[in-house]
Amino acid sequence: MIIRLDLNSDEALYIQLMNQIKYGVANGHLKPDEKLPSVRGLASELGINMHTVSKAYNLLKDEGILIVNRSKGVRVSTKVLGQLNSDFEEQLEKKLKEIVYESTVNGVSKEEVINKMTSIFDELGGK
Amino acid sequence: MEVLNIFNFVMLLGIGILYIFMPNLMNKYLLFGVTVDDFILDKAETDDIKKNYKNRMIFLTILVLVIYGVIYVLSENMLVYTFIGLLTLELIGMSYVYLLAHWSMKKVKGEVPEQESQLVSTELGEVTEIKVLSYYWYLVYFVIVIGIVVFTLSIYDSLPNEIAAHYDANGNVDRYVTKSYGYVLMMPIVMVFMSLLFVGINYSLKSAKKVSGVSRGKLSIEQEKRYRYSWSIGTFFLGLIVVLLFAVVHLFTIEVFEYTENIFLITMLSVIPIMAIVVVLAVKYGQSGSKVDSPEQNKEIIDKDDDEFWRLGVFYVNKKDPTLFVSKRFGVGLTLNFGNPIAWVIIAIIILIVVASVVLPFVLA
Repeated sequence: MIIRLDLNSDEALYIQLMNQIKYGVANGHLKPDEKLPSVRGLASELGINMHTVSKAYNLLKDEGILIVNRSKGVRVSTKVLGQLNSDFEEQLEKKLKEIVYESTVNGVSKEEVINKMTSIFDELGGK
Repeated sequence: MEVLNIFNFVMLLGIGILYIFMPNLMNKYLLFGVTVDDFILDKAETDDIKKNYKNRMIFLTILVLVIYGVIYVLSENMLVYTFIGLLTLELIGMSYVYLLAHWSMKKVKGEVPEQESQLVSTELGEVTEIKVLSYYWYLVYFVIVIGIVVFTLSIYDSLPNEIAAHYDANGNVDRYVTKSYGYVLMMPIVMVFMSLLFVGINYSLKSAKKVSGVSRGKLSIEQEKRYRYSWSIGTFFLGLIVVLLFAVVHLFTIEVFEYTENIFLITMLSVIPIMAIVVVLAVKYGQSGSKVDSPEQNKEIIDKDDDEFWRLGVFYVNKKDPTLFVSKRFGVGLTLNFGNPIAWVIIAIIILIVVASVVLPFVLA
């Protein structure tokens, strides 16, 4: 799977990186237990700071998406796509609320939001 | 020493030819160390720069060879110093010809509006993992070194007490060294460092920053994998030749073999397979123009170029980038990221080894 970062974007690089790895896992390009490059390796390929990659990896580890192991390196957790992370359960509602409130403020209807979401799910290939 | 002169001549000619055709061996989008696109490649100025580079290199090569020939005809001596002098001249001249091309290329690019892209990309997944020759192969080197050490120690008592350490131009001994374990094991120690150096090169081939990618103008990952693996095999054999050469020189040093002028010949002849390996690798597995822009490449994706980090298009200095080894933009092989402090440590160690191997014989003598 291809990772692309925009160095000029307002969005922080580590967030861009996190989102792309999440997308990769969600659409099946990154399989459970698949090995990811080391912090140094990925920073090196992208020519960005190691701290940026390290921050993204650590946050993804906290979210239960990656497993960082000294001997086995960085891998996609075997629990992704199946088990629900209890932290996420709380966050899901919070994040959805944010989207609903912002949509309402901007005059986007319930149907439009639901349709958009459905098409995003469909893009992932029904996963 | 007719052979030696022919050899020197061929060396000077070979290096000339390699650099005359260097732009053809490199990625066509990295012209003279400057990232370019099809638009710049199609410009008339670009063609002129290429033509000027080639003509100047040809002129320089011929000039050096003519000087060598003239000196040979006039002096009829063994031209070791002339060769070293001319080689230095050739290399300095070539650097200058390259720099002229580099600066002109930068000027042409400078007229083009600023780069639109600030994107960087890479591919994840196991298919993108670079493989090199297994490190176990390098045990062969150490078996040779251990063999040499065991052999040397087993015949230590039968070696003469005074060992010839230096010969004058006529082949007469002009300095002796008293036999000691330190002296007879000097070469094997150098061989150990040599072997470690080649292990290090193998590591660098594995860990160097990729030149392949998904964006326009990059080598495909399959090509890069093939290129690294073949370089790794080539490097192993280069190292083997060097280790064997040192073993032979060692046997001369401790006078198991009697001194002959042929020692020069052996040294010189061992350079031929080394050159051959490098040329084959550079031509067959380089990153030449025809190999970029493969069908898998996404022409829409244009990555930010990293010209700002390439001083003179030759020295890579990027403090943010933790990479240690990078592929040269102009020339064959790898170079270091001088923005990484470890690069300077490596340079220091190499200088130390070279100085030590020159100074050590004098200290021991």
